[in-house]
Amino acid sequence: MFVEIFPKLVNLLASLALGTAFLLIARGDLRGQVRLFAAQSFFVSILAAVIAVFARSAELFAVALSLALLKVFIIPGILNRAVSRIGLQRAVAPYLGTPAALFVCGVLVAIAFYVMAPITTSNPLPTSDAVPVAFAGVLIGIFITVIRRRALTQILGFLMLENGIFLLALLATYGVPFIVEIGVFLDVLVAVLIMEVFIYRIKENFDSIEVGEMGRLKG
Amino acid sequence: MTVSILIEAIQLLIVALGSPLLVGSMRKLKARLQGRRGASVFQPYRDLHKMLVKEAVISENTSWIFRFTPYLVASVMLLSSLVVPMLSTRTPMGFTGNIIVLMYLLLLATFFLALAGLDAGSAFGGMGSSREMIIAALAEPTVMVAIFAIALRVGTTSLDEIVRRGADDSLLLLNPSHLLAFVAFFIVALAETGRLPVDNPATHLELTMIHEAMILEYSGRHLALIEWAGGMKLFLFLTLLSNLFFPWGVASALEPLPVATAFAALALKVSGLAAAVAILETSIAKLRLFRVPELLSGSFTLALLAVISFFFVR
Repeated sequence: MFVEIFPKLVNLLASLALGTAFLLIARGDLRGQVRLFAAQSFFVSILAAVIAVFARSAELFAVALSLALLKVFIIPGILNRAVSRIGLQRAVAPYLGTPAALFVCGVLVAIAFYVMAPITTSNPLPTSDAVPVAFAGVLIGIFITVIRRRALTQILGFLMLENGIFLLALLATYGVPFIVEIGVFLDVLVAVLIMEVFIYRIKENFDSIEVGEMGRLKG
Repeated sequence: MTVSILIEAIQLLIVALGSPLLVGSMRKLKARLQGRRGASVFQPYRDLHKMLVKEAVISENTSWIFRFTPYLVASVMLLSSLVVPMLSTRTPMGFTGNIIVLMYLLLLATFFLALAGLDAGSAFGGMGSSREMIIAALAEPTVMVAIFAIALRVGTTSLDEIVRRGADDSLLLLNPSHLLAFVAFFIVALAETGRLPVDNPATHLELTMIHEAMILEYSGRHLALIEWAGGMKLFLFLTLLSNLFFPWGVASALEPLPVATAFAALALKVSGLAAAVAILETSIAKLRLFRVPELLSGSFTLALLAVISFFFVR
């Protein structure tokens, strides 16, 4: 029964994680965006836990737990603190409007499926069907960092990109060893801490976290 | 044969008589959620009766379209209720019951309503019509793509067949393409029936109204027909959503017991969806008109993803 449901469940959770990336594009307010990132990490860690149960791997289960702790609670907490310190921000139009951005994301998903098709067919694991979904998550993460003007949203794009890479490794190979994963998690945590300070400094100097402002000289 | 005709007659009665009750209970639930007592759930019946006995005022400047539209809209809804698989998957009108035909029947009603809104030559009517057409034009591609997503899985656009296959598939809800199509279709259903994030059915505020602006010139029996048709459209969309996406309980045989079960299941599913819509309408604000395209393009992307994932995810 579980063997039968397992690939479907993996597909569903991976698609939910991808769906939150889509919502991040449609969502305007920073707090809502941070919550969406937490939701995506939640789906990814549930997926990791499901695969851990299926593959009977305690190591992977530990990875899932630490992922949930770090990306559902700690990093969103840090980012929320950054949001409160920045305060209210005037809404600025992104480089690309929401409808067009959503459409481009749809195209990116199609590209991901096209590019990953050979890997899906040659990979014997039951999770391989969802590999293109994870790759689409990576592409959309890059896309978000490129099209958004506010530094915080760009960080969220980067974090979603990282989630996508983790998901890709998880689905294609049932995850990399625990020690490597922990190293990556620590890197991400440190990166977020540094970026939080950075955002705050940008806000202090330029009175805005819009990256377009940084091109101008300040006397 | 007589049995299937009987089933069709029952379906017709359910839609025709049940839709005011659906509208009334949604209003009641919304009122309770907002801390008001609200009118009785039977209030729409009283409203319809009141409007039917009142005189209909028709502007001298209108053409036949204005008088013809209420009858057309109501009869289109009644015809659609014969096509939608409501209690059984073996509707005798099923051979005409293609989902594409159904969607364009509903669009025919929208088209004539927009014409009637323009007909009287009032400023509000024209404004309402132009807004309604914007929304219809934006919702159209989503409806078609979401339908393709469902039809591709089953291999046919026949409504009966889609429901029958869906009821056999126990893992249906774990299918991402199915869920994406559901969300896309749900958003479009809200837009098409003039519910909250797109249009507010409860106000006559000149800046925001869409559907109400179009029918502002109507009175008496014409208004009664249009209001009744609006209720039926909502009922039909909720039935479609519940039977296409949660197809359990629909009778596959024309026997008394399965049909009775199907009736109970339909009542349960439609009231569940109606409650979801009422809660959604209480918790969100209406979108500005210029942001509606963002919402609808979002739902279009979801529908597109549903089709894409059908091809790649098994």
